[in-house]
Amino acid sequence: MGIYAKSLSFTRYFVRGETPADFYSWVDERLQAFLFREIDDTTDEKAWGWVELDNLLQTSFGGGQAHKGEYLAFSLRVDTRKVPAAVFRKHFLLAERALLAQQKFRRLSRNQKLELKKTVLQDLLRRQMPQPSLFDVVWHPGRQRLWLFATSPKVREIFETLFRETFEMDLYLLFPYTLAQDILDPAALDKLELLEPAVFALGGVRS
Amino acid sequence: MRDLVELLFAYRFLGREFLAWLWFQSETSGDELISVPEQEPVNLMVGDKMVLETGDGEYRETLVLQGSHSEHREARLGLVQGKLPEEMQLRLQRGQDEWQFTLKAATLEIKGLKNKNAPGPQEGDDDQEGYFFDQMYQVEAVSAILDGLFRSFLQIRLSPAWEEEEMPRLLDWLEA
Repeated sequence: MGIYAKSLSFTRYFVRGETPADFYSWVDERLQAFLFREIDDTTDEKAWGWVELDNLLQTSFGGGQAHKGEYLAFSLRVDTRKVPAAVFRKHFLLAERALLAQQKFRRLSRNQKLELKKTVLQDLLRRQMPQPSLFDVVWHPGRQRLWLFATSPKVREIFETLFRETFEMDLYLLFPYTLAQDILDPAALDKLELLEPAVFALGGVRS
Repeated sequence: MRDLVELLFAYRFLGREFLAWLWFQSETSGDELISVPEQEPVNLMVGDKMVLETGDGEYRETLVLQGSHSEHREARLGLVQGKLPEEMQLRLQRGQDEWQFTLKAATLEIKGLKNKNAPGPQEGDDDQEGYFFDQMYQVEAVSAILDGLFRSFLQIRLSPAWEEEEMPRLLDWLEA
């Protein structure tokens, strides 16, 4: 799902806050500082960071790769290791059988079972390749707007955390209230604070 | 400033009312274009899919309507029963552009945006940079139109004209 897809899905944000004079080279530096780092050789379950737009493997922003006219564009890469439930169950049963035989078929204690689950999961995670996913980000600093090409709340959360960490700027999700705040003058905003939901039911009669 | 998560829930009704208002506008404007502040006027149509919801959390009830235009009557009935649109498929037309997408009330997020008349990437085309700007044109155009329509909605929603004129017209439309 991204900017080059035939059908586009996106969430919008406002980005505000002070920026340094050499804004564009500062952005490159910040992106470079929070690049995606491979977890293939680890047992980490999840990792995230920035990569070049729509490019899983390119992690270099030094040459202005993120600059596209008035926009800044890059991608959030999230890698996740997952062990399918059925695979875990099979390996847990195998390990349980082996341990039972080892202790002459004496029942496993609750703690032993918990410990075994942990060990089996770690072992399987190590053998599982992380699954990469990419989510494109396009930012128009001049207009303080940003588009994240994802709609999942989980992805939104990772993006928001990483973006704030990277740029130390204020990032607000665009939703009815924040859009109203952007549009309305203070007097109208006061009216919004007092607004009650409209009643369409029962001919508009408030119960 | 109040907590954003709290505001997201507290003003959930505003997005749902906006969708209901867009639906009302689309059905009562006939062949006339709808004016959008700071933008060219557009033709607005509600598509075939709509999700109506009532309440929040465990008391939430959902009504999913998918299919022909005739179901819009059922959807209007849902509105009378206190359900409000949470997701709506919309079609916007302006000049050569004809966009279709699904708009979600809570976050105004857009899903499945397509422009029927956009050329799309050409076979063997290596001008990815050009395609990037084509795609951003679609994103920016639809974002700006929706912001404009939301501005129009707020203008009337926060004025005495909402109770005096718009609501009576809206209720007439619901009963039609």
